[in-house]
Amino acid sequence: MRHASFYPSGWLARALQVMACFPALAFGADLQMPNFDSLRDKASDSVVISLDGGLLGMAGQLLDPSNPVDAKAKSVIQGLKSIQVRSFTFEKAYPVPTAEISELRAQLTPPRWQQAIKSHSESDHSDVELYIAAEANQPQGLVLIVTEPREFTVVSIAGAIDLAKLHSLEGHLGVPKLPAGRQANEAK
Amino acid sequence: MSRDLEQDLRQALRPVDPSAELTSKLLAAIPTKHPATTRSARPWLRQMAVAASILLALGLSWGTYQHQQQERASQAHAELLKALAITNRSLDHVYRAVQSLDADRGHGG
Repeated sequence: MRHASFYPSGWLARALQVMACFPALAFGADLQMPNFDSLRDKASDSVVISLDGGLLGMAGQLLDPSNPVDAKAKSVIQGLKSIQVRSFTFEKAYPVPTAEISELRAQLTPPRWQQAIKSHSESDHSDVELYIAAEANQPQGLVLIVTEPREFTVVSIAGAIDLAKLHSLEGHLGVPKLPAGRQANEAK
Repeated sequence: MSRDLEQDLRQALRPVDPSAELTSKLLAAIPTKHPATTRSARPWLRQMAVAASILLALGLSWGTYQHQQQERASQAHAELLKALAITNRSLDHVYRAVQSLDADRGHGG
């Protein structure tokens, strides 16, 4: 059972509807991402990645266009300004970094940022928050906060991102492909 | 016997002051000034050495810079793939939430 709150007003509703069908959207708007240092000592695995436009360009040069996966990844990062990822995996339950989350949320305020999704799943005890930034009714930034019992992840993407292409990477890059019926089952 | 030989050697190898004539000849043979052409005859040699040093330094710096850039690119490449994987996994939560809402709406409607 999942409790999801949506704020579908105006462009946001349209953006979400399109995003649900994996469309190409333009995102942007960088922000100051906390490092969540309080989690590093407790986590069994920590991932702290900050790639700006320059590093994305350098990384893109090493992607082989003749390799299908690399070609998809290259098309995904075209137009991106930055990707910031903070992900921590734990052996046991961990204290949710409320201070850092509050620090992040404090930047994700209207009118620039809108909370598009706030969802809680009782089945897997996870919370998901999606924020979208917009200027002149154009989405320009994406922030995801995912809190799970053994994992905490924050993703910030700035620039133009094609979610359809990004999602097409599922099953590659070490991303486990969800069984066809899993999403439908979990939605029930 | 051996003492005589030693004495003869000492006698033969004793230091002898050069004659005044020899001294004057030697002094006359030594040039009073260094040839002016020693330094200026090959000025390009010095300049080439400096240029070669600069080129070598630049080459080494460029090589080091290229190596560092290659390492940064490799690291960025690995981080990009990992970031995309984590992003994709996180987006699944969003998609599931959207589908959940759609399902709830379907049941409600």
